Order: sequence, then structure tokens, then C-alpha cells
Amino acid sequence: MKRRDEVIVGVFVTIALLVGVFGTLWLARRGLSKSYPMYARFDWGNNLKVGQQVLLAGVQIGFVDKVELNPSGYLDVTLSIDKDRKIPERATAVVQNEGFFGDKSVALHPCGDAPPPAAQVTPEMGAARAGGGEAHCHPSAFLSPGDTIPTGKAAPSIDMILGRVDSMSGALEDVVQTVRISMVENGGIDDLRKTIASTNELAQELTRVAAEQSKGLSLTLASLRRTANALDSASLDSTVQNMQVATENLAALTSSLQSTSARLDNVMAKVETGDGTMGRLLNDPGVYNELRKSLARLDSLLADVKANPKRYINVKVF
Amino acid sequence: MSAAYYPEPGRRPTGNFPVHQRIAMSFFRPIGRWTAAFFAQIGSRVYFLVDIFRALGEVRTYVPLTITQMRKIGVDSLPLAGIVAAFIGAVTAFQTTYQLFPGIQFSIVGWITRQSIILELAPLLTALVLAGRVGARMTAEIGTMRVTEQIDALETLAYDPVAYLVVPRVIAGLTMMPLLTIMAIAIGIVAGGITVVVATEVRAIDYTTGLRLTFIPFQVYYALIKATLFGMSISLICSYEGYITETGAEGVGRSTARAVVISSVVILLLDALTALFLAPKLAP
Repeated sequence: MKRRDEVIVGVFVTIALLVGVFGTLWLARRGLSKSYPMYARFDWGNNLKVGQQVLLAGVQIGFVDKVELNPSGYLDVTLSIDKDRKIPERATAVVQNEGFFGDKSVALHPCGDAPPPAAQVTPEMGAARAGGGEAHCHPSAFLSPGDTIPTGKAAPSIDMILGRVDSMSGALEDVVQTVRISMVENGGIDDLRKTIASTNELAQELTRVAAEQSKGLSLTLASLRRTANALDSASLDSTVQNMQVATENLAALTSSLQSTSARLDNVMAKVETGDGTMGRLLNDPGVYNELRKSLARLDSLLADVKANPKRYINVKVF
Repeated sequence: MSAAYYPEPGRRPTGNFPVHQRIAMSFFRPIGRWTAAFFAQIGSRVYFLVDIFRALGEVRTYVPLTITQMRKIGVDSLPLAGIVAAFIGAVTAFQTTYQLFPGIQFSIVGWITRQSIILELAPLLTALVLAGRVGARMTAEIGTMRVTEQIDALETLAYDPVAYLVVPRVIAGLTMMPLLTIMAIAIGIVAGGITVVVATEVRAIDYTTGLRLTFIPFQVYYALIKATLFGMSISLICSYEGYITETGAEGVGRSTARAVVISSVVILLLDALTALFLAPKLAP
């Protein structure tokens, strides 16, 4: 019994200790896989925490091992990289967002921000590029363990976007304020409400009028229908015939009128060309001049007669 | 005052004092008695602790018994602690998954489950469950020995009853609680992982990523510190309550109830205090 207790307790203690030690190691160090340190330096306020992923071209190759606050405005970050992963020489490190809520990871871009220089384009790489198009660069050299990975240009963070949203919301607030002032404080809403009320009244009035009108209209229609029914179709027929006759007479009149006007046209044309008495009279300026002269002479003669009537009129009674 | 009232010898009977003095005495005397009783409780526990430290010298007496107690307290409690931890882990992970809204990455499930289980749930719930299972048993055993005068018999046989009964239990509680807590943490995290991977769209890689996020070994040490404190308080309080049991079977029952209540409250208080003092060191 006692011996058995000892064995059982020993087994339990051993298992529990092993679970504790290896569990802690597993949680803290990605199992017992070997890793090597790399360093990076980021600006303050990047929200980096121990245990966040390190991604090389989107694949997890390690985790953030240590974050130290450097008083000169930087975070000195130690990255723990899996031993079987190598980091290309021109890689840059960027803190990027994971999801919406401020979680971060350290992303390593294998080729840095710049495109690969033309000198490094090898034939097989050109082939790969022609084939797939995704092969950006072909790193030939790698950083050695313990190097510092240069920092790349960070993508806009949620904070920046939130800041933009903040300023937008400020502007929106101004707009709302203006609307509030003009609508509420200056009585815009009251006016609007009054307008709506009077429009409503108008509409009601219109409805009422329309209702009356339609009543009258239907009465009119009814009486019209009665009248139409009362009309004799025979008298209607004779009326239509009379109207036809009248129309024919009218047509004859119109044609004779047309011929008259044609003749008149003819006369007018002759007058215009200056043929005949009328034409001469109208078109020859000589007649006018003669007439003028005659009038002038007649005028002077009359003046003379007025002045010396005795010269011309010699009335002798006895 | 009834006829059954006898003043203590050498003390002036209360009835001999003038009325205004008697009123003051009737007001202050209970206060004095309660205060004295309060400090007597503390003093009695200090004597008990001193007895335990003295008994630690008698290695030959308690070491063989400690192994038995370790089995009874530790190994035999593993199924209960494991079941509790498994359900807590599974429910925590599952509930967390259902609180997520679009935009949150699934690794948060692993992170929340790990933080909850390691920092709080596994140590606290293991301790509370063990206060019922182990503590009540401890009090009842020692209390029954006390009321059946077996402890007096031990003293008569020149055995130190503290070294014989209390020290093995205290050592076993002190050492087994952290180990049980480790097992509870492991079982809880694994059960939570299995639950969410099987029952929800969280993938195993999300869960393990979350488990490792912001992890520092001090979180485990924190859990172990708490577990050690809890185990110590359970075994000390429960063996003390058993040791001072009085008046028969009813006294055993009363002591057992008291022991469970006091140890549960003390566990919660210690939990709060450790959080107060050690939680700032938990940030990575």
C-alpha cells in the first residue's frame, strides 16, 4: 500500500512537472524549435507586444521576443526567427495591422520597398517573371543572425484613418450646427411646418373643389347625354347635308375669288411696269415735276390776282 | 440578576456598582469580550503555526505519512480537478468564440482562454473545489480524532499529534496544489482548443497563435504562486479547524462547515491580494 502510494505520487509529480515545464516552454518559445535573434527598430507607439507574429512575405517565421523602450524615440525590438528561415539581405521590417482592433505583427518585405535593380535580373528569373509574373526578386544574399533589419515605410495605420474620420466628424458637426442654427434657432423648422400646414390646407381645398367640380361635371355629362338622346338623327342628317352644300358654295366662292385676285395681280403688275396711263402716272417722275411747276405757277398767279384783282377782274356794272 | 449568576472569584459583583456604572459596564463588557475573543483566535492560530514549525523537526514521523497524504490530496483529486478544468476551458473558449464579431481575428479565442485559465480560473477553481473535497475531509478526519480522543491518546504515547496529523497534510497540500493547477491549466487549454476547433470555425493554428500571443513565463509562475498560497491556506485552515473541534459529532460537522467556508473566503481574499500585488508584473 505504502509502496504503491509512493509510486503513484512519484508518477503524478513527474508528469505534472513535465507538463508545467514543457507547457511553459511550448507557449513561450514555439515549442523547442531552435531560433536565432534578429533586431529591428521602430518608432514609438507601434503597439508591439511580446509574442506577436513575424511574417516574411506573409508567412510566419518567428515572433516578437522582446520590446525595449529606447528613450531616444525608438522601440528596440528583438525578433526570434526560426532557425531554418533566412531573411533576404534587402528585407525591410514594417509594423502592420492584423485585423481592425489594433493587433499588430511585424511584416518583413523580402525585397524592401524598391523594385529589384536590373543588374540582378538573371535569365531564369526573367523566365519566371514571364511565366508567373509573381517572382519579384531573387535574393542571393541573406542577413546573418543578429543583424538589424532596416525599417521600411509603414502602411497607414488605423490610428491615422481614425484621425481622418475624426476631422471629418468635426466638419460634419459644423454642418449639423449650422443646420441646427438655421432650422431650429432661427425658426426654419417652424416656417417649414407652417408651409406644410398651409400646403395641406390648399390640398384639402383643391380636393373639395375637385369633388364639387366632378359633381357638376357629371351633371353636365348627364344632361349632355339627355340632349344627345333627344336630338333627332334625321334632322341631324339634313343639317349635315345643308352644311355640305354650304361648304361647296364656299369652295366655289373661294375659286372665283382666286381668279379675281389673279386678275388684280395682273393689273398691278402692269401698273408697276409703267405701261398704260396709270403706270405712267405712277411711275414717271416727269408728270410730277410738270404738275409741280404748274402748281407753282398757279400759286403765283393766284397771289398776283389777290394783290391786283383789278388787273384781271374788271367788273363794270354800268 | 438570576440566582445562577456567580461572579468570578476576587471580582466585585456587578450588582454592587451604582446604576450609571452598571450601564457603562453592560455596554463596554461585550466589546471587551469580543476583542479578546478575536485576538484569542489569532493567538490560537499562531500557537498552531508554532506547533507545526516545531513539529517540522520530526522528519521520521511525518515523511512516510506525507506520501500517503500526497496521494490522497493530490493524485486522488486529479479526476475532479481535471473535469472542472476541462469544462471551464471548453466553456471559456466556446463562449469567447461566440462573443466575436466580424473583424476580430480568431486568435483572440486562444489568447482569452489562455489568460483566463492560467491567470484566474485554473488556480482559483481548483482551489475552491479542493477546499470542498480535500479540506472538508481533512477537518472531518482530524476533528473525529479529536472528539474520540485519539489525539489525546497520541500525546499519551509521546507522539507529537501535530507532526503526525497536521504536518503531512500541510506539506501535501502545499506541494500538490501547484501540480494540480499545472495539470488543470494543461487540461483546460487543451479542452478549450479541442472544443473550438471541433465545434466552431476557429482553426488550430489560430488557437495556438493566440495561446502564444503576449505570453511570458511569469504568467505561469503567477498561477503557481497563487496555487501554493491556496494549497497552504486550505491545509492550514482545515487542519486547524479539525484540531480544535469540540463536543462530539455535531462539533465535527460545525468545524467542517466552518473550515470550508473560511478556506473558501481566504482563497478569494488571497486571489484578490495576489492580483493586486502581482498583476502589474504580468504585462509583457
